[in-house]
Amino acid sequence: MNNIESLKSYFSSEIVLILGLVVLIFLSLRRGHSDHKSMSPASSVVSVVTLFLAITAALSVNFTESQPLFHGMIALDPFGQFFKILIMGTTLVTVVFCTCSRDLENTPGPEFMAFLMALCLGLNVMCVSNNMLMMYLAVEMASLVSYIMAGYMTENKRSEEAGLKYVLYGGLASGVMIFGMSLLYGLTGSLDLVSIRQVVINNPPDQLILFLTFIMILTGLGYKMAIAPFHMWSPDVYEGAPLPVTAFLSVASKAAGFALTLRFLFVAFVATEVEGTWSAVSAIDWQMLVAVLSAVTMTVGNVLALQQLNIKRFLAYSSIAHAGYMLMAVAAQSGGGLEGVVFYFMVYFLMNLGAFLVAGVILNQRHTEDMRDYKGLVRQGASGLFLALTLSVFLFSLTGIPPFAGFIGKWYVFKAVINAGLLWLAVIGALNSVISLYFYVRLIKFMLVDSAEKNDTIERVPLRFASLISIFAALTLVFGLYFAPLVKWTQASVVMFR
Amino acid sequence: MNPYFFYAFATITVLMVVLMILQKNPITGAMCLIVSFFSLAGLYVLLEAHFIAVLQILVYAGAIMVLFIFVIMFLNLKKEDLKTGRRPFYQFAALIASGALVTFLVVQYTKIPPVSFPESVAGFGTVEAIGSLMFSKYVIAFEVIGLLLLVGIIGAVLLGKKENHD
Repeated sequence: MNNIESLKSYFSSEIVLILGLVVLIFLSLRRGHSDHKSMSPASSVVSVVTLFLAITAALSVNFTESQPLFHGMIALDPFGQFFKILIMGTTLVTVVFCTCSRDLENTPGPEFMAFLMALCLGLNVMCVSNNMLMMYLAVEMASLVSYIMAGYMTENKRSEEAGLKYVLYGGLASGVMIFGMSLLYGLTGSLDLVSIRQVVINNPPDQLILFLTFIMILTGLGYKMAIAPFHMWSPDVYEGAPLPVTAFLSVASKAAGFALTLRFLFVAFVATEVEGTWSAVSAIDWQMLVAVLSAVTMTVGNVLALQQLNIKRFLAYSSIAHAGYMLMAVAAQSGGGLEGVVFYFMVYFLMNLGAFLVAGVILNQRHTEDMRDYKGLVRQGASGLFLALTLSVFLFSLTGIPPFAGFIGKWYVFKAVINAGLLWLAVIGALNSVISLYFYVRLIKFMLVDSAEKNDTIERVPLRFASLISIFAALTLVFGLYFAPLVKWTQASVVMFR
Repeated sequence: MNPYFFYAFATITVLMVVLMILQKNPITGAMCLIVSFFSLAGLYVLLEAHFIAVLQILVYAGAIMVLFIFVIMFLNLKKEDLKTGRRPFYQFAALIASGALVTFLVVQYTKIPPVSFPESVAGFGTVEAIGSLMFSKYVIAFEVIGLLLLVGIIGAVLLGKKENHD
């Protein structure tokens, strides 16, 4: 489809985001704005309206079958739409999160929201790019803005360090990735993923070089997903970045990374599809590679999380472990596995953002990131009780204990893995779930069982936080028991891969 | 491709890069690098990639070299900083490693079967051809780059500016 047609009918949510970005930049140029207040109300309102319109636009895009846009640079399909909506939803929550965050006080306000819009846009493009040039540009756009946002607390040493570390790792990873992409272009003569697949199947290039190329591109993608062994940056960056940014990166950035990887693997490097199971191209059998990466990722994430007492680092390692579980479903190479990933992301969105929101409230009031300061939270007034109980719901769900939504997510993933015959991987996954039980329950014990050293009550939780946290906790419970609508949506989302 | 021009440019490129490594003074090294960039641009011209040749000069020999030299001057190195302790073992190891690499590359080079390059289509590699592609097929990528640079600039200003606390 040509440029004008694509722009007119199918690109409305991106256009809305760009307009919002421009408005926010102009807002930050107003006279007399130089006093740094934290988030200015005007910029938050503009961001919320922009995101709301963009989500509506994305939902209202009507198409009967998936098709290439912009001469095949971008793909229009339910899979991309799903991830776009997930990412814009995360951004919406993050905007609300930012309006009331201690980390972001004394930082320039309206620009921050503009960066958030740009990041959201970059991640959106990542989810739909169908061409290596667009893949690289989208990854660069998302990374560049992430670096700025991670180092946003310019007066905080740790935030600066986080930004710098992110730049160094990110620069290296994207350098390796674009080197790989240029080699792949040289080998296949095409940037388009679909044409690459044709060449790799019909006219396979030298296997060793192709494999090297594949690994190099996977390095860049793995860095975006924060999977081992490319995860080194994530604990330090998550710890140093402002808390809302950490929450955003751990959900949206990871989601876009997975969307991009799935598209890369399942469009360019699969040979045949029989009744919902794929086989990799004969030149590169990536099933075992992904399976091993997933086993390593979840083990590293869970084992290192055991030691953590800082809530941000703790959630960082936990998110690495969750990336491992999701990668497990990718290794299944089946429709069930893809559904598992998509389903897991919906659940992960709820429970991970919920946990970050609770941590944000406590950081705002107590000025602490240490998990030992959560001791006796349940007995510190009505707000303390509310926070302790909701955080317990999120943590139980992250562990994957029924009847919470996390259990259903894990169940889908394990089902796909066992159906694919990767029993050893399922066993490693189960063992990792047991390890994770220890550290999630330790935090719950801190809050519910232990008694506090000082007995001061938690002040009233701001209304927007309280409502968001209650909605997320309620949905975590509801989707654990009644998940049919989610299943329907996931099945519709992966239909175009068949 | 005229072989005499090719050998001339290739020799200058390699010679200058080797000189750059051997220079003690970083500024002299940077100057050698500029010359090698220019002769590399000449090689691109021989390959009919005129646009890339121009970019090579504008971006590498222009912008990036200025940045290099700026940083070198910023560091303000003194003569005694440039002296390095001699470590015979490392020098010996480096000599052997690079010798092995050169031998390997030469052996591999002799194995490559002779390739005849196809004649390029008219207009290939010109600014016009690249421009029309950039504004038709790849226009979306072009726009994304525009946004990327915009947020990049704003971010750099924001992180780099000095706060005045008064």
